[in-house]
Amino acid sequence: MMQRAAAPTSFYRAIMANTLAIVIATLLLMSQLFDGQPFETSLKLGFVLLVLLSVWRMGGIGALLAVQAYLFLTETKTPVSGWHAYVVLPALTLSLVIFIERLRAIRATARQYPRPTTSTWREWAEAAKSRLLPRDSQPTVPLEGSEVGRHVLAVATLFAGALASALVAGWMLRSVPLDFRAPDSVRLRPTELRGIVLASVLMAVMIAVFLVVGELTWRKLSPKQARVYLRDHFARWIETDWLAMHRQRVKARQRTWKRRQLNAAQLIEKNP
Amino acid sequence: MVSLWLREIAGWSLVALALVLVQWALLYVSNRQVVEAGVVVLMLLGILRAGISLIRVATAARIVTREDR
Repeated sequence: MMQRAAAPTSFYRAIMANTLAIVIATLLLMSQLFDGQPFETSLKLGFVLLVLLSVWRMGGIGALLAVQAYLFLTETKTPVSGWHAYVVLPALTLSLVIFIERLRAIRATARQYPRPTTSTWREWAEAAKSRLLPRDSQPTVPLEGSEVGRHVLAVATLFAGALASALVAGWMLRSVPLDFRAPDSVRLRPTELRGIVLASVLMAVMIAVFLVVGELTWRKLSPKQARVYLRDHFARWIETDWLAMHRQRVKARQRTWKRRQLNAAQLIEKNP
Repeated sequence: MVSLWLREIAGWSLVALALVLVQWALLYVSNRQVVEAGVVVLMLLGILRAGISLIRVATAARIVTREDR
């Protein structure tokens, strides 16, 4: 029986790089969120457990919910200000969510391969320690600087993307000023009105981009794709009529069946 | 083919109307009239969907017709 090859060692190096990134992001977030709070140690321990649960089962949403719950419970009446609240915290939270999801995706892909044997792990550990080829007969690839750099660059790129998103979002939020007449005129807090204003502006931008991109891609349809789309679209117009006809047929069949059963029962009664 | 072009023109008209409604909604929001803005947004989403659907059907039909020729 042919045995499938074990997962490439690059998978496990990616897992190590991602795990290290998750540990660093968790430590940084813990220092930002929980310092100076009552029951600081218990909160930090709870956060670490939630991150572990997110990695194991829940996915990035677990960590996101944990941060959101903490911010909700420690919300103050005065609006927050400063780049720490607008950029650092969102960037760290987003990075943590990204790294957790990436780790789960890499592990799911690596699980398709058989588990590595002890000898493979030993080879990899020896290569990582000494950067020399092991003395075993099985060939292995030593830890190359370019591959390590590639994994570090991948993690750094993800963090840079999260930071850029947080910077743009923070700038957009601050570009809409707080309107302090909001509580009197619309019974909203100034920050809530600002959120609605920003959401409206973003919705307008999204509609414009969606129209342009959608039209550009739609005109590149092949004739086969166009046919499938038209059939699906026209079929939906008469879908409700089809369903109504089908239900009527089913009911008529059920009535006929019941009538036959009754007739059969009456015949049996008359002629025992 | 004429009917297909008419469908596409109708679709683009609806999309243009939706864009005008977007501008109305932004005006309402800038005047702190969020409830009115919400109503306008609901309307424009429906009109936008209808317009896009018409445009897509017309475009797909033209592509199929051109291939059949």
